[in-house]
Amino acid sequence: MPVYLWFGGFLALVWLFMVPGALAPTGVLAFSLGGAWFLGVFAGVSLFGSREIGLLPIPRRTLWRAQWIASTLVATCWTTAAKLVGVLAGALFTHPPDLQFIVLSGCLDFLYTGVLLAVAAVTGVAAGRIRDNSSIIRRAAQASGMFVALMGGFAWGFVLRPIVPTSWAEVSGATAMVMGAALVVSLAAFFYSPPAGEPRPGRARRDIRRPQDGVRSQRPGRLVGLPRLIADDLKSTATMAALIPAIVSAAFFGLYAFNPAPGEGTGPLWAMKQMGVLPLRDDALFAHCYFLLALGLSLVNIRRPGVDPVSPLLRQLRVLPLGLRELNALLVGRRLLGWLVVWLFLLVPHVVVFRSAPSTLRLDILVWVAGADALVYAVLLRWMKWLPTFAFAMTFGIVSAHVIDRSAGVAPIIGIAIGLACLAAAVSLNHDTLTRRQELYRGMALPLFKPYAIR
Amino acid sequence: MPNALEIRGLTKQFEQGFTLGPLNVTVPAGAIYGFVGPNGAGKTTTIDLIFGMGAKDAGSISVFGLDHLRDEVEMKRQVGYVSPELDFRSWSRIGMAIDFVRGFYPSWDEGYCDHLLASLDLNRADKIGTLSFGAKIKLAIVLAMSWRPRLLVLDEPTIGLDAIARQQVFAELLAAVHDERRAVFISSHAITDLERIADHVGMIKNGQLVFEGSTDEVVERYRIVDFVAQDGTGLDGQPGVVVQRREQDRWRVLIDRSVTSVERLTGRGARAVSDAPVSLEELFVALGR
Repeated sequence: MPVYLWFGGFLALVWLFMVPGALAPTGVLAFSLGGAWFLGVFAGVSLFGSREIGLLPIPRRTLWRAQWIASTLVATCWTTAAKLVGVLAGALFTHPPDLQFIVLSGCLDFLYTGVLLAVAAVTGVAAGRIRDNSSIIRRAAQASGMFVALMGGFAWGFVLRPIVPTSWAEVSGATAMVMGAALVVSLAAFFYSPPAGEPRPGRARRDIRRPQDGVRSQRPGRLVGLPRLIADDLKSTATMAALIPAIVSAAFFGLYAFNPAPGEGTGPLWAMKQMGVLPLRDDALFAHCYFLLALGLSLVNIRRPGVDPVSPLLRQLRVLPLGLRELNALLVGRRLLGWLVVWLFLLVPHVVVFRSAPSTLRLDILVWVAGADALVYAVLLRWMKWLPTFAFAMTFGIVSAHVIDRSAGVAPIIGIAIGLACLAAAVSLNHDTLTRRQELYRGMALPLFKPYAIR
Repeated sequence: MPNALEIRGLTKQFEQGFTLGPLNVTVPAGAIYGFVGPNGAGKTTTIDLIFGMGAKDAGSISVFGLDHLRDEVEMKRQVGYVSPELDFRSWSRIGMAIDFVRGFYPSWDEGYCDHLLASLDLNRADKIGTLSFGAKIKLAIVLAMSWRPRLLVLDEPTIGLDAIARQQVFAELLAAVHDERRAVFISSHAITDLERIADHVGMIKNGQLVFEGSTDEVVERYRIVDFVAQDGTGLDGQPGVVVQRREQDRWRVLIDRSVTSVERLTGRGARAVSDAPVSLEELFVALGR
């Protein structure tokens, strides 16, 4: 539910600012399709694919229909309600609401989620039923289902921009046929019945006694102990730092480049420049947007043991011969080191795209963003609530970024001061959390959705 | 030689109303100490407090004379820890988890680690994500024992283990404490196994220690006695007497012989018809209700 509220609010904001000329209708429609996919298909697969749901004494067909309703109708109604709120709020200040546009967008959302859910069902990924022991054909089908219905759901709306009508008057005969076919597929998906005997999601366990041929002693010279953990953490951060700009620019705005609206530029480099994905462009409207995005992503990453190796290890770290100060230094210092790595990784694409080193690669901004991140991480550890922490991170990030933006010409030291204050606050908060909160050591359960399980 | 673990007056109050302690526990060097109690009695909380996971309200905890907070690092260099709540998912393979932990202990014994891996059917190349619950416990045991700690603290180490693996674990524990300077503090519900290997035992209930002492003394101290009595006034509510069952005029009671005796109760109008020793498990069930 919190995700529905959060995303619904975000969608309402987008439609609130959809004043003529500010946001292209095609982009708004595409964003709405992405939102409907996220709240519908993606959330549905994550929730209905859980082991707990599978154990309920409910027929598979009934479960599937509940998933279909949640993924298509509920998601569409929710996004439509959010859009109505945004448009009606906008009507108070600017222009009268275009209700026809909302109805069209709602219809498109429904068709989009229905078709993607059908793809997920046909390819066998609809209810998290992925098996790694099936045939090559089946695995290929599952992979394409994953790509089309689960991973690419946010992007297809942008890809389809040229053919998506922005008013009922634009619905040609061909478009009507496509929409009709999508409606048939969507409704047919409702009558799909998941086959019996497919395993519920969950990891395969192994506890087989076998000869110990593989047992061997450690090779000398390998990193051990804390250096090993720090190296792994930095490696993981570096991977994310390398991937995020590529993913963000390709998934969101690279598509614009390959599929430009009139008057837009072309090419992936143009898209990267336009987006301001690269850190701290001098001419960006909001210079720190990348770091705000990354701040949010770093919060998401905290709940992924494969990405963040430290958080799941807190209990073990507490029983190892490490002092409280060392542990605290690790928690705070890793964010500082991590951002330094991110900085260095972003330097390369920046130089490639702009042919110059970023003039905004400044110590004050590095200290600020590392301090803000350390504080956000400390807040998360202390209260263990993902959504309020996310809201705190974004609010704090936006406010402090504005302060730094405004004061850059006057006193660059302000960024450093904010960063150091954040680091000090993080250290203090961590100390309290590490000594007083027993829950911290009993596993971090911060579900946004249940993780997608692969069997 | 100082005691391996000494807890004195440990108290912690929780917001939900549960209060741990005041708790006094003594684990002599060289002992295998079984720490038993019903679910929610405070066993894991006690162990967590030893390692500073949570703040105590009062009391002291020392390990081989080292204060658990003031000498935190030195203390933890003496203590190995096993718990099902340890999370190894950060490491993709067993070998990586070993790499991480061994860096903290200069006394890490690679040969002993290999021996434990073989004994517990683990392989360095195994993926941690595919390990069963029991195999993860075994990994925790390997990581805790491979550097031969002076005190091994085990919180539910046999949960999820099959009978064979349980025996392997207990065999390794016994082998580990053949050196009298080492000790084991083990919290477990496998009471039958504990009775076999633990030479000291303590029971906690609702945050309070019910009994503590050498296993033989504790078991010797209690008896299960069947009485015939018209009314239970001479039995029910008497100090040192815990009524287990009543069927008409027959009473089955647990007697703490350090407080009262069969003879004293017989003198109050009850007639003893049978008198039997108790096992640790029977004692646990009787006092844990």
